[in-house]
Amino acid sequence: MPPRKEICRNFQRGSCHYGDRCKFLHAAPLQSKPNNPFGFGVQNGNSFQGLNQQQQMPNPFGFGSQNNTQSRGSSDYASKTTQPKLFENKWTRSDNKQNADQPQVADHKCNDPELCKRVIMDDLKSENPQWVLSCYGHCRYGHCDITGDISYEELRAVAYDDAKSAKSLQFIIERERSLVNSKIAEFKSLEQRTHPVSSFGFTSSSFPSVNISSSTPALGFSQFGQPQNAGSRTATAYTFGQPSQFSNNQAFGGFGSQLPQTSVQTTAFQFGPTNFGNVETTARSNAFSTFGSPSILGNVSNIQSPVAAAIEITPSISLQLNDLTSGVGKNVDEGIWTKLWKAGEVPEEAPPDIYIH
Amino acid sequence: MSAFGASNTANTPPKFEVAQPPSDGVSSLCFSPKANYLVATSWDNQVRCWEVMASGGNVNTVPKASISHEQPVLCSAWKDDGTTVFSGGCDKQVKMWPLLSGSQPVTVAMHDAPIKELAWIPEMNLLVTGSWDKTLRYWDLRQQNPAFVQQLPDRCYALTLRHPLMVVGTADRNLVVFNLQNPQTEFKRLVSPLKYQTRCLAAFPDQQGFLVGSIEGRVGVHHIDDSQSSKNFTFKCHRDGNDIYAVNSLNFHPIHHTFATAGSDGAFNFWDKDSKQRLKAMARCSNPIPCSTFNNDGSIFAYAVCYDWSKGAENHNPSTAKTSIYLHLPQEAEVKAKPRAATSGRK
Repeated sequence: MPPRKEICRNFQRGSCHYGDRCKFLHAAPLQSKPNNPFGFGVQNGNSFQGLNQQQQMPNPFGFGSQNNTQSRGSSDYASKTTQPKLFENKWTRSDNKQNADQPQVADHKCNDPELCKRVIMDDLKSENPQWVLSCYGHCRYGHCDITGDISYEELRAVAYDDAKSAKSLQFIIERERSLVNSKIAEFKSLEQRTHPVSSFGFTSSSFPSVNISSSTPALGFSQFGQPQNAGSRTATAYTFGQPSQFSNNQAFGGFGSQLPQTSVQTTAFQFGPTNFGNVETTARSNAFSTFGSPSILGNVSNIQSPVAAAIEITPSISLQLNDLTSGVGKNVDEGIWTKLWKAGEVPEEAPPDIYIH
Repeated sequence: MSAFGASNTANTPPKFEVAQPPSDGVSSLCFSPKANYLVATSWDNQVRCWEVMASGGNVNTVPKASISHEQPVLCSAWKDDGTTVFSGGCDKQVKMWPLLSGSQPVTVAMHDAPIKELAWIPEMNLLVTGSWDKTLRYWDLRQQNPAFVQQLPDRCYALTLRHPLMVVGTADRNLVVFNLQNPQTEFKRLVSPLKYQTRCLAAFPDQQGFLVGSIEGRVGVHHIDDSQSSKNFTFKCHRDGNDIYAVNSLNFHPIHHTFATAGSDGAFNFWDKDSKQRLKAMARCSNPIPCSTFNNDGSIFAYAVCYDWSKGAENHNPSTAKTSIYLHLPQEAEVKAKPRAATSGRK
């Protein structure tokens, strides 16, 4: 049966089930792109080893916006490929057959930090979901840049528990607010981290700190754990959003810092007299338990919770953006600011003010 | 909202409200697979069941029965024979409630942390539960101990099941795919195509893939088989100017295989993933929609309108908070798949 004049839209998208039997025209995709007012981009979610298929459709509604980074960076890709030719391309992804426990390779390969930065900057500017207490990964199918997810129900469950133990609403609100503040600070630090090279020659790769963010929920929850022993517990490094603050702490030895890497572990959520948040945190020697804002410190000291949460924090260094494993957790000698750096010696924290010219 | 080419602009069709709704937020809704019995679990620790009678264009609801838990209840599921309801929540237990026979509930499952999701697997005669203790447990109801404990990479946030496909979404954007013919190993583990926290999942009726919704007002369509990965895409929804709301619920229509999304903006929409269009945008409600579901034949769409904690404890005012469950009778145009071609009826 000869195809009618009309183009088969499914074929354009690579999803026509009828094949040869189809009564619409299966024209080659190059000739006629589907009129796609919604800009649904047919994008491959997974990466192809060596095969790049970017389809950056002009996309007012953002439908199917994928691979933004790569398309942006390399316009030649966009011209090379258009719609997937389902019946012509053999996307044998046999080399991508993975074991069950291997995550899929991400589209965005993170081999160009500039690209990564741009994605992150764009996301942080334009996409600001109402729910702040979320993880974030700039790479679709890629690992999180910021971990430490808290869901609506988790927050609510904790609030209800608090209410049952006769905590005031004000207390609950303060606690939640501090969580939100810490998370915002994490995102800010990620943003700052992705900014072009700082004056100290720190490249983005020298900051594994972005993953410290995972500590914050624990920090927040520790408020109704037993945060009294701030010294012992809060060996979690916090965000690096405010370098000056850290420099101060460094001068004073930090809040409960100088701790060797204590192997402490946050366990799963338990409502009741146990631990909170399976958040992995990196304990660092110059760990600062300072929070983004002094008010949180105030909260910490005020909290007398019957819940004896012995929060243990693992100093696992979850380097998700880069594979930097060196230079973490060492006691930074003050002299490091004045001497010539070798690889692996770059300290994570910004230097104290006195060293800033 | 009509800019997306929906056939009608958002209008307000008659909404039927369920009688005697819960006194606190609703955490899950599910219809019986056999009849129009609706079960809702709530933050007021109750599991309630109504009989829904829809005749003509009119809908009547009659409260039937309820049971309590010690703490807020987060999830519910019906057994495939429509006689029993499972419910689990913050008390870390699952209660099996044979409500059609009027029997008392029995505890059948336990976890170390609140149970966020559960599902009944008729093909295996097992109940699967996902919890914030980072495990998935399979339960033979006759036994006290789980048949199998599956470790998850993180706390369970979402679960969807279409035998033999099961997908579990956890914290930090992990997605684990299971083939229930071989349940003891993960079939595939991937990271979400969305950039923020996973909120909900829905498996395709044909088990070729699944939908994932996140807090960033986006839904991802993902096919399991790599050879179909070219059909993967994401789209934005539940956004209002610069406000980005979470997608709280994804539900496939049982007959037409189109799907509905419901969000913290208080709106729900019907979509067709194959033609990639929005079929219908419904007017926004004054409160978020935390959960929704279709009944067994897709003639009724139930959704709860109540505060979902999307703005924290500050915005929770128990004295003025209103919880409602509404029933919407979808018209065919709203849920029937629409081919993009000029002629219709190809599908």
